[in-house]
Amino acid sequence: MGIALSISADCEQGDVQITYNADGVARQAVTFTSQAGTVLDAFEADAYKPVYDGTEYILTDAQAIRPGLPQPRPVPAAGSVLGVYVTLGETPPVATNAEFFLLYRCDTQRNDKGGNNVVLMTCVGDYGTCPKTAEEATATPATEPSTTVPATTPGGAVVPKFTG
Amino acid sequence: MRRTGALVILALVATVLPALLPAVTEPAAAVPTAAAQTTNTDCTGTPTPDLPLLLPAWADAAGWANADQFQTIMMGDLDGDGGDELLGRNASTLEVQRWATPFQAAAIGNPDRVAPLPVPGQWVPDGVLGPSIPEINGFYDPSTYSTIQMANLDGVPGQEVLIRSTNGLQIFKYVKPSPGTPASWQTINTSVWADSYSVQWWQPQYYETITTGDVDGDGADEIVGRGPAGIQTFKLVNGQLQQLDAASPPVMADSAGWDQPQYYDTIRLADVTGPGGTPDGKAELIGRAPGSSTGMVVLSLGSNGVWSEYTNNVAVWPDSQGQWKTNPSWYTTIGTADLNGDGFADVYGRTQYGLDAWTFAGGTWSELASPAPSSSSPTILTDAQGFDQAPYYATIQAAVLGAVPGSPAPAGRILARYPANVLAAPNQAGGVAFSSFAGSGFAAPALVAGQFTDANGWNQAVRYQTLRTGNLADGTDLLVGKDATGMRTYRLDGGTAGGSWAYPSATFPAWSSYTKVQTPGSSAPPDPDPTMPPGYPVALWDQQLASYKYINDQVGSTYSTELTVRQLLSQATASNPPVTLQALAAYIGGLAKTPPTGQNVNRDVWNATLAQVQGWALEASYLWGFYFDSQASMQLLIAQTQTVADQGPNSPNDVAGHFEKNMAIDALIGDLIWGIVGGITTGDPEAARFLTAFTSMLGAGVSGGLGFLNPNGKVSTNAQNLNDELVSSFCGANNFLYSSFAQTVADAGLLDAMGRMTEEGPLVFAPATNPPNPAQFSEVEAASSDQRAIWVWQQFANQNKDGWRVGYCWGNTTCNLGFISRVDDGYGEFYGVPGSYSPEPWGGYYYRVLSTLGTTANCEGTSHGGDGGWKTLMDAGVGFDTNTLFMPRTQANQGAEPPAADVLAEGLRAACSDHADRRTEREQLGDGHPGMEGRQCQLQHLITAGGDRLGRGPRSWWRSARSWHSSRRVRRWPRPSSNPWASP
Repeated sequence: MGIALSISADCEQGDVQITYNADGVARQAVTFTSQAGTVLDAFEADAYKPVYDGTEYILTDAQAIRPGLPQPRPVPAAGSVLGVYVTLGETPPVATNAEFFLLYRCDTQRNDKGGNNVVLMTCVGDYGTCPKTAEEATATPATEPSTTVPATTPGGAVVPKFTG
Repeated sequence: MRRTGALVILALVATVLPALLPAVTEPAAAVPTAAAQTTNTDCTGTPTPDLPLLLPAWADAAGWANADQFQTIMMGDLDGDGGDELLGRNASTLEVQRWATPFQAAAIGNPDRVAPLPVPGQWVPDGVLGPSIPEINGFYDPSTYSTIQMANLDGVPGQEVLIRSTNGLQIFKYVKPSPGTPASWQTINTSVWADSYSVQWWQPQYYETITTGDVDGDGADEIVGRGPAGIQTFKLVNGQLQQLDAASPPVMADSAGWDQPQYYDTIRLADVTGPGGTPDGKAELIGRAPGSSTGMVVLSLGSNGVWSEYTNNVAVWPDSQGQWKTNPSWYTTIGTADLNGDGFADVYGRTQYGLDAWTFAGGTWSELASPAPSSSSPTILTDAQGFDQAPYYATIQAAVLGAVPGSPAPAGRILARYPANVLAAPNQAGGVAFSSFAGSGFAAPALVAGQFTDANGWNQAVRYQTLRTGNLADGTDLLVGKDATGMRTYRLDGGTAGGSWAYPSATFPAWSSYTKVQTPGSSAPPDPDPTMPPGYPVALWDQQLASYKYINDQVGSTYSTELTVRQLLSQATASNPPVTLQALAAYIGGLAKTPPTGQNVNRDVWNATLAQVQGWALEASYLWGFYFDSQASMQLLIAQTQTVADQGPNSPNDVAGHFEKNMAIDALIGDLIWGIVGGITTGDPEAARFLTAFTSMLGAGVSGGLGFLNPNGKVSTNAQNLNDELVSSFCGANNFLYSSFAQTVADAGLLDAMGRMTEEGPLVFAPATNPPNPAQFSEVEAASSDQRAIWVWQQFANQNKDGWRVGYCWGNTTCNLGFISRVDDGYGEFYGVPGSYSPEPWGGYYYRVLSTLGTTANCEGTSHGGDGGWKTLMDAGVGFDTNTLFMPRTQANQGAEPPAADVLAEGLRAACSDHADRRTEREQLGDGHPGMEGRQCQLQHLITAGGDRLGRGPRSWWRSARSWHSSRRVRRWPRPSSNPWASP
């Protein structure tokens, strides 16, 4: 399992790509937050596939039109610390869900357009392993990129099942 | 019933489309439809959906049924990118169409990361107006237009266009300095092979021999032609033509009998042999020589500029053998192609027994394929199969299929159009097929494109003479031919081994039924998708399809639970107002801020897909506006036409009688369309491009027979009928375009191509109040109005009303004619401005044409006026031969009063021949209208071209008339000393 910042990410677009091997997943929930605690984007949706082994693109956007979120929402300034949280399995999440989190310092430009979006931290693991917001993740400031690895490998006989 | 007031045009009842549109299919054949009702003056008829809109819309009724246009259609690599463009000459310029490149939305981001989008599979106009080769400069004559060809004359990648004008060879080079830099045309004018008394290059035994090939092997082609004294070879050096063989003794001269078609029509250039049996890239000159035992001869040009003839070991196709001397279905089929793949060109031709082929690779003749029937080598193209008839044998040509860029060319094939019941099932209807050389004979026809059948009208010269093959830069093979409404194009899918010809337009993705799943890590081939370029990543295509589906779901849930995006586009023709299309496009644009959830789509692919779908919606919106909006281009033009026809200074009531005799209604409407296009060459190039494209499409509707009571019939003396015909014809065209809108939005490739044309191409035609192009609107409106008016004048002019008049005055009288040009009537007399020449002209006539706005004082009733003075076209007695509809031309005796036709011709020529005089006249008339010159020259052409426009009748007549016209040299300035009219 893993999470990485997509080339299209910037201060408005919190695009990440997660890699996993899953069987029996049904739903996913995504939250894009700022260090100041603002929810920039959030949605729930059906999982891409119940059974899947590969990479999935997760697209969030501070300008996206989402029911329940204020319109418009401010786009964070360059240098803001932002976090993208994804949980996969069921919604509301259950113990067998997997979760993914990525914290990055954003730029207003994509990296392939000369921007400087820097990953500060990534985390993957069972539900409850990772921070869920940028505010939470920065409660203990991280100056270097770090990765939180789950204490136990997700999976087993329960559904959903994650490996990798 | 006489109509009054503005016509209501838009009250059309559209065809209701099926809820689910199938994938794009080949447009139906444009077989002329049944007669339409003529009393439909308010355009309320049901659109006829069975006429295809074909791009480019080189429609019969837009002038492309004229040989001076359809015979110039060719394919070649103009820009040196390895792929062919499609070229053709319209009434004024050379048109260039190029295969549409993959669409890339502008604001998508890094192109390297953006999924390439489907190739439209359509021709789109080049962005540069082509070189001017107008009819008024003589390019209606076969001695000019039929010489047009493409060759690489400068050795730089990209071919030049070569054509013989009456003033000599002209070379046009397409220049595109670098990507993103606007292209342009450069012209090299030469005096080589210009018309002259001494060497009459307007004779077919000369101009028909003009060909190109690399005779010196330096990588650049030379130009070869046969004059009375034999072959002449010219090389392009530093922008000038230099003769290479001036030192050579005459070869293929008239004196040796080469002035007969059975010999000069067989002259070819090809690399048929080389030293040591190796192709040297140096073309030899070959041809079938006079003599009972001579046959095909091969000559090479030495470095000393002397042609040397190889010794024949055997007489191939001599006069004494069969009908090689007498039968054009034999000798005109002689051609060259590398049939056996050895790198040398072989020579082929057909007899009554079928196709014969010989090789000269080793410096001696050796037969490749015998025409004698045998079970091991099936005989093709025999008389028994019908190939003694022109609609079949005249289509025989060499083609190279399956070429891979950068690799040696594969063996050539023989293309031919087969009669019905000759090709094997399921192609009993006949059509185009290709044969390859198979060791000892020719294989049975394969790669059948059965669409070009007799049943669909392809046994007409205007059809079968336009068949061409070409290649795209990626090696894709194309087969094209001109149908009634435009060019049909087919793409060879599946390669040359078992492949087939298919309609090439891009299909809409199956975005409403996305089920495709690519197994990660699987090496299984992806789902084939012909709209995607080779090598397109399957993973990206998966994402693109997912994006289509997501967009479709979002649009469907917003607008209707039943409609997909594509259905919304198509149903706009029936019920949705334009605002729906615009709103749809805006809505899709808004989806950019709502990325798909749970779709696993890369943002770049998502944005690219979104931009494409939004583009489709915008294209449909543009098209709607162009066709149907009350202030749209087409509606304005139609309204103007109807206004002129209905309420102009010469209403149909006054002029209907003029059409009683011979004028067929299709010529009437065709001339109107041509008149709009043909007279704008002096105007803004953008306007010209627009009108060319627009009227081609309008002509496409007219071509299909819509709105004609009887396309081959006579116009009634009843003015109402004439009025009805005019209106109904345009209603028919309107309806055609209406139905073509539905066709267009159901065809992703066609929609893309049309959208490009309307959005940013030649069809940009915004109303004056609507940016971005108010100036163009005014230009076009003025040009179209002017041209329509002049056409009406030409057709309807009454002496007592506004119109054109042509007159002449005796040279020694004091005529107040304003200007008088020097006129050489070809019989040794010069008529000109008094005082301008020495000795003073005498005993002649002054000719001129002027608007009735001018004065004819002092010209009426001169002693030599005869019935003279001023005449209108009609009143001057320019009658048309009741059999040929051809305007007779007779030689005027020196010093005698010329016949009316010559008066008109000479007067109009005078009006066109001198710009200063034209300017003077314009000033004198106080007209100041910029279209004056164009009117006069156009009018001159109408007359001197032998009634091309005024009297063109049914196409069966037209073909025969053109043939007669071609053989008789209708017009030549100055005239030859001999009289070509003595024995018509």
